[in-house]
Amino acid sequence: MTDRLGHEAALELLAMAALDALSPSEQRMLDAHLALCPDCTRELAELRDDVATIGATLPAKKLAPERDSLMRARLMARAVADRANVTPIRRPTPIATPAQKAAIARRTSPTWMWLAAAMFVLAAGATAYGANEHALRKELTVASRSADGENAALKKRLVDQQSMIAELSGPGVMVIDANSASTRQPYARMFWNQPMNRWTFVAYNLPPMSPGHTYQLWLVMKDKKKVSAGMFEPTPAGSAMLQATYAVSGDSLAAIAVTAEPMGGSAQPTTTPLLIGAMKAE
Amino acid sequence: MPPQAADPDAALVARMATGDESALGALYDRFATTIHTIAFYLLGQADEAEDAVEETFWQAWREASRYDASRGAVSTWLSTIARSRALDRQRAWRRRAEDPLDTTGATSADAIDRSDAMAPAPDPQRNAEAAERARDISAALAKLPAEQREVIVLAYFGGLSQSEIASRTSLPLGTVKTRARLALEKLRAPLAQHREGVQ
Repeated sequence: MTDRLGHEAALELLAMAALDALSPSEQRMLDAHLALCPDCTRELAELRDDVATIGATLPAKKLAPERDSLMRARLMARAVADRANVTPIRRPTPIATPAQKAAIARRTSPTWMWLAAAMFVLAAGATAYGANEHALRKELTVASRSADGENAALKKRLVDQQSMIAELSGPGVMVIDANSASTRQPYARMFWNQPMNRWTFVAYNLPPMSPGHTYQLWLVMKDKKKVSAGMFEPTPAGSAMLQATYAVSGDSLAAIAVTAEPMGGSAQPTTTPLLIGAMKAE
Repeated sequence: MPPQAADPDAALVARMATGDESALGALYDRFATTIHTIAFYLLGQADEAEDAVEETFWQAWREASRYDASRGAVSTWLSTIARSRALDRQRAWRRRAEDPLDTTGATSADAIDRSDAMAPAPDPQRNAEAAERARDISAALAKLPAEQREVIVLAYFGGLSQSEIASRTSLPLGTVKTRARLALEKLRAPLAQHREGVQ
């Protein structure tokens, strides 16, 4: 078989190409011809339209409403996370004790995309889609069972999502807002699940960091001690998300703060905080 | 006004390409049933079809910037993705059927059963569902002579290549190609009417 395809031979292949029924080698030869033949390209586009419409002539099969809503919410959540392209940097190693480090390692999330997705699902579930947490967990559990060949990965994601939901919605969760007076108005919110010792930090509108520097998040204690909660870099859109596990007694935290530090982080803040948020009085 | 603004579907895809997730939601609302229908008739399993639907819209989101309106309508683009994702699953069943040691998904018996979208299912309920799907497909392709319908069913719903169709039907490859082409030409007028009807 030669690598060149004449016009008549190409025409014979178009219907099967529209049906994606060519072998890879046949497809390559046809592609080479299509690159030079607008007539065949046009004809193939029409045939693809015809093939696509075959599906539309079949009796419609609607998704069950609850599955439909859940899938829509899941897709939107994935899109939001994908757009944010949130990337974690690393955990606050200088501060945590060995036991805390082990706890952090056990709880390391596989993909921040799914963590962000879980946050969106949480918000969506509370408003637009009306799915309560229990229903969400049940639906996601069903989904994990049905995923062919991906059950293990899906179950891991499900655990992460449920963990995130629990961390953000538990009875002991405190919310600390951090603001800035600069013109671009960075904004951040920290969810502190005190019973679980989990910290989830999200930020928006952060300016890009200069080369050789990184953002560092601090827990500021009432005794003036500053505890590093980790370093992070924002996405091009200026958003970031960071999670950490660190035990702090309820009455010892005064504020959270974000500073710019040399790459690798600092043991103590070395610059004026870009963001600072004080603990609200009970 | 951008060129794609005249086509509201293309405008949605253009917004998706800029990272507007609300456009993905709108596209989903508009085409979810169509895509689910395609996936369901190719796969015959509700859970598999749902996964294929999600994969389709996710791929559309990730590849929105590559959508070229000159190569077809958004509905064609989405339908093509949906069919590809569903056929990927079919082919995975077939691979497992051919390799009994591959136990990563369905059992071999299940895979063999699933390897032919038109094959009758082993239990009465699935058998009845498969028969109903086959009836629906036959009705949709009723204008075709039986020999042309067979080629379209094997290619579109079965995901077989032209060589595999020739082998299965014991027909010369040239005959298979001719029947496919005649079938699509015969379907073109009614399909075009259907397209106009749904737009």
